[in-house]
Amino acid sequence: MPLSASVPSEDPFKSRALNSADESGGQSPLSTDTEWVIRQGFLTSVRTGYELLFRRYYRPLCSQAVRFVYSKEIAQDIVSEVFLNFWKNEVHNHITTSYRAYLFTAVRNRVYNHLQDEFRKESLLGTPTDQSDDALTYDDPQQMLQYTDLYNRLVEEVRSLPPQCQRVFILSRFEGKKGREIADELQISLKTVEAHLFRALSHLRKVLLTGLGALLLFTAAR
Amino acid sequence: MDQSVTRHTLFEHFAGRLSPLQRTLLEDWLREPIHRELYYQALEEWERLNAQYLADDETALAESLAQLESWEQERIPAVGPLMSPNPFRFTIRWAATLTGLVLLIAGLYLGRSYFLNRTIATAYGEIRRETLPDGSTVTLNANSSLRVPRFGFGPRTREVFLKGEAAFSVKHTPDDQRFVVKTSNDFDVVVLGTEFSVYARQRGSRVVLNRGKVQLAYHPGNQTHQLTMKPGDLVSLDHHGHAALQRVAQPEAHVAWKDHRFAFRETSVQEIADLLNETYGLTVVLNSPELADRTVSGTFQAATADEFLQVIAELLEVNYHRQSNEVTFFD
Repeated sequence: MPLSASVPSEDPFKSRALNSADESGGQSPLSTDTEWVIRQGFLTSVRTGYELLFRRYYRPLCSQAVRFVYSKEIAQDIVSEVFLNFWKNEVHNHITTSYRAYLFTAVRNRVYNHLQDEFRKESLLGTPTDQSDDALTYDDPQQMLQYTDLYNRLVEEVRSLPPQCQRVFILSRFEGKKGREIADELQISLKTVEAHLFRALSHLRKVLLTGLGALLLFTAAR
Repeated sequence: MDQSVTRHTLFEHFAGRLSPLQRTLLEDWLREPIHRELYYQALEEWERLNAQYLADDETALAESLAQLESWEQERIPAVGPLMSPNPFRFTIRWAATLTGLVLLIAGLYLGRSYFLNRTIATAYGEIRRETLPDGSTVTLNANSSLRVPRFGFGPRTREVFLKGEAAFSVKHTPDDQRFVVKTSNDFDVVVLGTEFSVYARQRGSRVVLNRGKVQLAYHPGNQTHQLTMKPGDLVSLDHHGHAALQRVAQPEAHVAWKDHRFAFRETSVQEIADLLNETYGLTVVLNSPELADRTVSGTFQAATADEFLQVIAELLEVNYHRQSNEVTFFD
C-alpha cells in the first residue's frame, strides 16, 4: 500500500474487487503498483525504462496478439513495432494512461489492422493505415469488447476444424513450418497438407470478413 | 466503486463466456476511465495465467535495442535529405496513384449519364419535335432538355427525365408498359397512353392533361403523394411540393406553344416577363410597378422573340427597347 499512494489510478481494483477473490499465484502483495518501478526506470534513462517495460510486457502482449493472428512470427513483429514506436515517439513523456493500457490498446489496433490488410487485400479500405497513433481508440468501450469477441470467434472457428486440419494449420501458421516439414512430421502427402491449409484459411477468411465487417461498420458509424 | 464487475467477470469476458446482459453491464462499466485501466490490468493478468506461448523476450529485446541504435544513429546526420526523401516520395507516389484512380472513377461516375442517356435539348426560342424509340412523340419547348436512356428504352422501361417544358403524346403498348416523366422539381408523371404536357422550371411546375389518364407522384416534405388526373385537369406544384388541382376549359391552350402560339387569359405582365426569360432567355425590366400588375388576354402567334415583343407592346400600348438580351418596357 505505501507504494501505491503515489499512483491512485492503480490500486482500487486490487484493494477491493480483486483482493476479495483470490490472490493470484506469482505476485507479491508489495508489487501493487507494478509500473512504479518502470517509471523510475525512465527517470534514470530512457534505455533503462525501455528495458524494464519490454521485459515486463513483451510476453503477455505476444500472447494476446497471437490469439488474433495465429502466428508467432507476426505476433512478435507487431509487438516489437509497438515498442519501437513507443521509443521513437517518446511516448513515456506524454502518456496519460498506464503503460499497460497503452501497449495493449496499441497491439490490438495493430493486430486488427494487420488482419484487415492480410484478409482484405482486394478492398480499397486496406490502404496503408497511419500507424503512428497507437493509442487511438483507447477510450472506446465497445471496441475494447469487440476486439475480445473477435479473437474468441477465431478460437471457436479453429476449434471447429477437423483435428488433422487443425494440426496442419497450427504447424504452418503458428509454428511457421513449411509444407514439406509438416508433411514429413504428420506422414501425409504434401497435397493433403495444402488442402488442409486451404480449407482452414478460407474458413477463417469467412469469419474474419464478417468479424472485421462488424468492426469496420462500427468504426465508420462513430 | 461499482462492484458489478469483478476480475472474475473480466476473465469470463476474455474467455468469451459472458452472457449478453453481462456484456452490456461491462460496456457501461468501461465508460469510466479508471475501469478501463482495471480492464487492461485484468487482461495482462489473464494473459499471464493463460499464455498461448512464451515468447523469447530477451532475444526480441536485443533485436529491438539494436534497431533503435541504428535508428538513433541515422537520425543525427540525416537531419534533412537522408531521412525525408524516401518516405516522402513514397507518399507522393501513393497520393498520385490514388488521386488518378479517384479522378478516373469520379469521371466515369459523373460521365455515366452521358454514356447511358441521349439528351435532346432546345435553345432559347427553339421548339423541337422528336419521336422516341417506342413511337411516342415529344415536343420540347424552348430552353428545355429531355434525357432518354440509350439502352433498353421501350421493352424494359420507359423513363425520361425532363427539365423545362414539353408536351407528350404517349403510345400505348400492348403490355400496358408505363411511361414515366421524371423531373428535378420533385415530381414524376406516370402515364399509360395519353396526351399531356409537363412544365418543370424554376418558377414552378404544372402538368396539364389533354387526353387519357396520368398519375402524378409528388413529394411534399419527405412524403410521397399520388394523384390521378382526368382530362382537363391542371395540377400546379409550388416550391414546397404542395399540389393544387384546377379544371381548365381548354387544355390545348397550354400546349399552344407547340405552334409558336401563345394563349393568355388575364396573364400578368410579370408572368409574361418570366415566360420571355424562360423561352427566349431575355431579361425584362419593367420601369413602373403598375405595369407589372397589368394583365393580357388573347391568343397570337409569334415565331421569334421580336415578334412576341411587338405583339405584347401593342396589346399593352407601351414601348419597348431591346438591347441584346435585355428588354425594357416603358410608357
